[in-house]
Amino acid sequence: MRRKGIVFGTLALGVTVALAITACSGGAKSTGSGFEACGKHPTTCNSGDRKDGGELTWAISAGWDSWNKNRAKGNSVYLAEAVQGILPQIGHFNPDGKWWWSRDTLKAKPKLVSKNPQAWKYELRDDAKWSDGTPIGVDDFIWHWYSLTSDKSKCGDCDPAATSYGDEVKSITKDSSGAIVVTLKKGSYDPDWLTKNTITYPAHIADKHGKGWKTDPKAMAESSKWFSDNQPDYSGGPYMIKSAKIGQKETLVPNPRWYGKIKPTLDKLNLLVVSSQQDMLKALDNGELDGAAPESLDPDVSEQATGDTGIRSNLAPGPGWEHFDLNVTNKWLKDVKLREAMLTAIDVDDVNKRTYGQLTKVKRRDNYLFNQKSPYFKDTFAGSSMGTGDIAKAKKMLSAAGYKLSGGKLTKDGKQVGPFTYRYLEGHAMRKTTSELVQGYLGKIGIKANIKTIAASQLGTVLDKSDFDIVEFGWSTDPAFTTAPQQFWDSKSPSNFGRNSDKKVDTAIAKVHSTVDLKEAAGFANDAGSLVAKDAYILPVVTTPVLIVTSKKVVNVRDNWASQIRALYNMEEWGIKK
Amino acid sequence: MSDDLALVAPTGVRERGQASLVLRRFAQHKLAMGSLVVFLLIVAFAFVGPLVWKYDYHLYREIPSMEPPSLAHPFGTDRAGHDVLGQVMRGAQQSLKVAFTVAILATGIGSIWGAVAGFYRGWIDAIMMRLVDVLFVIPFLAVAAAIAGGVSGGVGWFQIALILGLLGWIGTARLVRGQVLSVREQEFIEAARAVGSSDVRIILRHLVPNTTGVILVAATLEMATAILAEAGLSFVGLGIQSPDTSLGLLINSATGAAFTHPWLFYFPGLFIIGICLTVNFIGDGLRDALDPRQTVRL
Amino acid sequence: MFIYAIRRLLIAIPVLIAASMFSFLLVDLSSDPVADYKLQLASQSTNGEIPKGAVHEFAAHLYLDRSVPERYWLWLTGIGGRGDIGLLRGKFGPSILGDNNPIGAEISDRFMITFRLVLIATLAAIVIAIVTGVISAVKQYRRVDYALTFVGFLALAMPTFWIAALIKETGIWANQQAGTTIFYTIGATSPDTSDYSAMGKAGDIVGHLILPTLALMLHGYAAASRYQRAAMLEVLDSDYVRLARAKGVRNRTVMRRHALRTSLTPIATFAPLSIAAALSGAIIVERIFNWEGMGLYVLESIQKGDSFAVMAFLLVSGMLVIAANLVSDLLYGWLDPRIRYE
Repeated sequence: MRRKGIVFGTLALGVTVALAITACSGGAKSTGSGFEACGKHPTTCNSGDRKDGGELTWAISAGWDSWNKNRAKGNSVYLAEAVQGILPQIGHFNPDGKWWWSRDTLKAKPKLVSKNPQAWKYELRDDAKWSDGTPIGVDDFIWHWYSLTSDKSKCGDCDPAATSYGDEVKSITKDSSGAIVVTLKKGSYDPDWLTKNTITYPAHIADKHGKGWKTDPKAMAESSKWFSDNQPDYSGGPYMIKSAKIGQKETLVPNPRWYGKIKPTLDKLNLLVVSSQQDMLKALDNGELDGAAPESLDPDVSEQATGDTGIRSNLAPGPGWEHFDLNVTNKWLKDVKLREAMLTAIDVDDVNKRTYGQLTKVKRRDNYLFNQKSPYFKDTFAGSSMGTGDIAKAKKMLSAAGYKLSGGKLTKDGKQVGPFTYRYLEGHAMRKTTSELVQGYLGKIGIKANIKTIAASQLGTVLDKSDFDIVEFGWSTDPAFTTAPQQFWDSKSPSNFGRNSDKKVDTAIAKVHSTVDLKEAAGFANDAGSLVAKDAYILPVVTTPVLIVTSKKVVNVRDNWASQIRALYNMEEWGIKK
Repeated sequence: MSDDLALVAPTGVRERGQASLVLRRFAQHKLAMGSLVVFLLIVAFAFVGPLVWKYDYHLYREIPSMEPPSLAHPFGTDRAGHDVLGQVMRGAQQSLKVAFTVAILATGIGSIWGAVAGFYRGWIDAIMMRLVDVLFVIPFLAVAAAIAGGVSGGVGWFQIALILGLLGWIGTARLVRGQVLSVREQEFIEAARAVGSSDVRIILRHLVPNTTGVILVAATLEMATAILAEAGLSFVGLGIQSPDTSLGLLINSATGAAFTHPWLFYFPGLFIIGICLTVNFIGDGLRDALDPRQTVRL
Repeated sequence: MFIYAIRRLLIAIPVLIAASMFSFLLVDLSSDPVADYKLQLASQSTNGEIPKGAVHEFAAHLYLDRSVPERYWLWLTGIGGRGDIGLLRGKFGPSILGDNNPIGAEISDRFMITFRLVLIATLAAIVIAIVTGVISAVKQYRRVDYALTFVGFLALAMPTFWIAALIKETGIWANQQAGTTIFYTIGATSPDTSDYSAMGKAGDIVGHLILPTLALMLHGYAAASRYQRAAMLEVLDSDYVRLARAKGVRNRTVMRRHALRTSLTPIATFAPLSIAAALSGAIIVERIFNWEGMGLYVLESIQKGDSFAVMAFLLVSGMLVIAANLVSDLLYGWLDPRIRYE
C-alpha cells in the first residue's frame, strides 16, 4: 500500500508529518491482546477474535486536500491514510520490517525474470476485482506508470508526485500466461523494486473521464485530474467510502466485493482529523475516539497515556529519526575541522537522556539509513568522537586547527567564531529541550548559539533558503532505502538543506543504483553514509519513539514503524473485541 | 476585546478635580488599594526577583526533572530541567513588559487620535473615525496572528507588544473623542482660544489632560487585554518564542500536564489571573475615584 | 430610520474596502506559500529534483506571480483573472489547498457552524448576565453581589484556553461519573450521523455544543453582567424610581415595570457588539474543541499562508461586525425614543 517514492523521505518536522500503526497480515496466531508482546511479536501482538459489527473512530494527525495521491500537489501521508482502505495493493512492509507480498491480490511472489534489463513478473489472482466487478489488470499497471512519469508523451499534465518509478519503466505487457511483466529501462537498476507498489487507481474508470488515455497524453491528464477532484466511489480494497468531508473526516464501510481473505467486520470505520494530541487523548478518554498513532511524540500525552488504565498504549521506535544539520555555506562552518569539533562537543547520550529517555529506553542513532534492527545496520560513527560530548577532545581539535579559546570565546586570527543561529520547529517540546542543551555544549567551547524557532508557516522558506546555521529536524524513512542517500546528501538535491557538496559522496550515491542486489546496494549506501559522517555535516541523534493509543475494545490494531500509514496497514483486520 | 471592556464603563467619567482629591478617594477604595499593593508586589517579583533568585529561566543540567515544589525549587521543576520559579519570574516580566508597552502605545495613539478628531470635528473627525472603524472591522486576533506568523524567526516580546499596541488603540480613541467632544465646549477652552493658543497647544495642554481619567482607566483595561491577547497568541503558537518565555507560553505548554504535574500549569496561571484581576480592580477603583457622582463601590 | 440604515451601510462600504486593503497587505506580506510548496516537493522527490515548472505553475495558479497591488485588484474585481477570482463576481479566489476546497464553499459550510456557537453563547451570556446583573444591583454590597462580581472579574482575568481546558476536563469527569458520553469534546457533530434519527441528530448537536458554548460565553458574560449591574444601579438611583417608591408603588412593581425595563436598554445595544467579540473568541474555542468552523479555518489558512482564504474570513467577519453595529444603533433608537436618526 505504501506508495513508493513518496514515502521515503517524508519530512518529519513535527507539524508536517503523519504516521500510523502496524499489524500483522494474514491473521496468524494470536499473541494476546494488549501491546505488551509487540516487542517480541511485532506482527501478531494485540490480536484477537472480532465480533460482527461495531463502529470505530480513528484519529489522523492532519487533513488531506485532494483524492489522487499520485499527484504532487495532493500527495501526503494523510491522503495515503484516507485512501488506504479503497486502493488495491501489491504488498506492504510489516511491523517486523519485512516485505509482505499481498496474498489477496497476487497468486505468487513477484519474480525477477531478467537482470538486465531488470524485469519483474506479477501474477494477479482471478478474484482480484474492483468494486464494480471489473478485474484488476494490466491497464491498471499502465495507468499507474503513466501517472508517475515525467514523460510528456505519456501524460501531458499529471503533476507526478515522484518520477523515479515511472521514469524507470520501459514497458508493461501481458505475457502468454496472462501474467504482467514490468520491464525497466536498460541500465536502470532498482534494488528495492520488489517493494514498489505498481497499482493505484482503476484504469477502466480513467477511461470514462479521459477516453483513450493510453495513447492520448491529454486524456491521461484529464483522468488524473478527475481522480484528484472526485471523492472515490470505486474501491479495490477492503472498504468503500460512505461519506467524506475532504480534509476533515471520512466514513468507511466494508466493500461487499472485497476479494481478500480477511473481511472487515466493522459496520463503520471513521477517520477523523484531530491535530492536537492532547485533544485526541481527552477524546479517547471520553469515548469519542478509539485510537490514534500521532506522528510526533508529545511527552505529556505519552506520559498520561502510559498511566491511563482506561486505554492501551505503546511506545516504540518509529519511522523517523532526529538529526542536527550544519549549514556549510556559513563562512565559519565551511571549515570541516570546526564542524567536527562542534559535533564532538554535542553529547548525544545526554540529549537523549533528557528528552525521549525520560519516557522510554532509547539508544543513540548511529546510522543515517538503518535502525539497529536492520540486517544492513552498521555503526557509521564507530571510532568517531562526534556526538560523544568530549569537550577536552573538541578543544584539542580546535587548537590543532588554529582556533583559540580564551575568556570563554573562540577566535581564529583574532576574529570571533559565530555566533550561530540554531533553529527548530516551534512547538516541539523535545527539540526545545535539545536546543537549550546544545546551546550549553557549544558554550563550553566558546561558541554562542542563538536559538530562533521556526514558525510552521515559515518552515518552507527557512529550509529552502538554508536560513539556519544549525538545524534540528527529522526524516521519516521505511525499510526501502535506495533513494534516501540521493535525497539527503546529493549536492544537487533540493532537500540537501545544509548544502554540503562533496564529489566523493555524489559518486558513492550513484553506486547504490548500480545493482539489483539489495545487500550490495546497502553496502554502497553505508559507504556513502560514512563519507557524509567524515564531512561532519549531519549528526543523527535518535530513532524517534512513537506512541500508539487505542481504546480497550479494539483488537488487531498495532503500530507499524515500517509503513508511512502506520497502524492503518491492516485496517481490514480491525474490529471490536469479541 | 478592549471594546467591550470599554463599554462596561457604566457612566461617562467626569473628571474635574484635583489629583489629591482623586488620590484620597482612591485610597479609600479598599479593594483597589489592596489590588495596587498586590500588583506592585507582582511587578517587584517579576523585575527584582530574577536578580535575587538563584536560577533564571534557562535550562540547568543540575536541576532535576519534574520535581514537585520544594524548598530548593518553590514552584517545582519541569521535564527538561528548568526551575519553574525562575521561569515564572521571567514570564511575568515579559508579560508585564508587553502589557506596559501596549498600554503606552495604545493610550498614546488612541488619546491623541481621539482628541484631534474630537477637537476638529467635521470632515477630519469623520475621516479619522472611519479609519478607526477600519481597524474595528478586522478581527484582532486573526490579524495579530497573521502578522506574528510572518515575522521571520518568531516574535519577541517587543514585536508582540508592537503588534498588539498598533492594533489595539481604537477603544481608547473612541472614549477620548467622546470626552473631548464635551470638554471642548467648556469655557476654559474658549479662553485658551481667545488668548491665541495654537491648536496643538490646546489639544496637548488642555484637552488631553482633561481626559486623563478616561485614559488611565482605558490604560488599565488595555494592560489586562494585552496580557490575555499575548496568551491567546501563545496558544496558537504565535506568541513569544522559546527559549524566551511568557506567562501565556508557560501555561500553554503545560496544559497537557495540568493534572499530572499541576505546578507547571497553576503557578503561571495564578500569576496571569493575579495581574489581570488586580489591574481590573485598580481600573475600577480609578473610575470610581475619578467620578464623584459615582457612588457604586466594590 | 430606513434611510439612516441605508446611509450607514453605504458608509460601511469604503470602510470594508480599506479594511480589506490593509489586511490583504499584512496577510500577503507575512507568508510565502511557494517556499512551503517547494519544501513539500523536495521532501517527496526521490530523484533529487523538483519537477520542472511545478513551482511556477503553483505560483501562477494562486496568482502569486503578480505584484501585491495587482493581486489585490484581482481579488476585488477579478479583472485579468481566470474567472475563479473577483469578489465583485462572487468569487473568493483560489485556495492553496486546490480546487477541491473552494473558499466560498468552505466559508459557507463553516459559517453556520461558527454562527451557531457564537449566537448561542452570546444569547446565553446576555440572559444570564441580565439575571445576575440585576441581582447584584438590587443586593448591592451584600454577599451575593460580592460573589457575583468576583466571579465576573475572575472570568475576565482568565485566558480563554485556560478556562476551556478546565471545562473540558470537567465535562469528561461528568461523563465518567454518568457512565455514558453526554458531553463531547471534539467536533461540531459525530463523524457520520447520516443514519441517525432526527432526534438523534439533534441530541448529537446539543451534546457537542454544550462545552464549547460554556467556554466561549464566560468572557461575554463577565463583561455584560458588569454592564447590567451598573445600568440597573443607575436606574435604581434615578428620580423617577425614587418617585414611584415615594408614591407607595409596591417594590416588586417598581422593579418590573420601571427599573428592569429601563435598565435593559444599554444591554440590548451591547448584545450585538458582543457577538462580534465572541467571533474572536471562537477562533480559540474552535481550536480547543476541534470545531470545523471559520475560526479553525482561518488559523489553518494563516499557517499555510493561504491569503485568499484568510481574506474571505476577514471579509465575512467584517460584514458581521458592521451588521452588528448597525443593529445595535437601530435597537438603541427603538428602545430609547429620545434618540432621533437624522
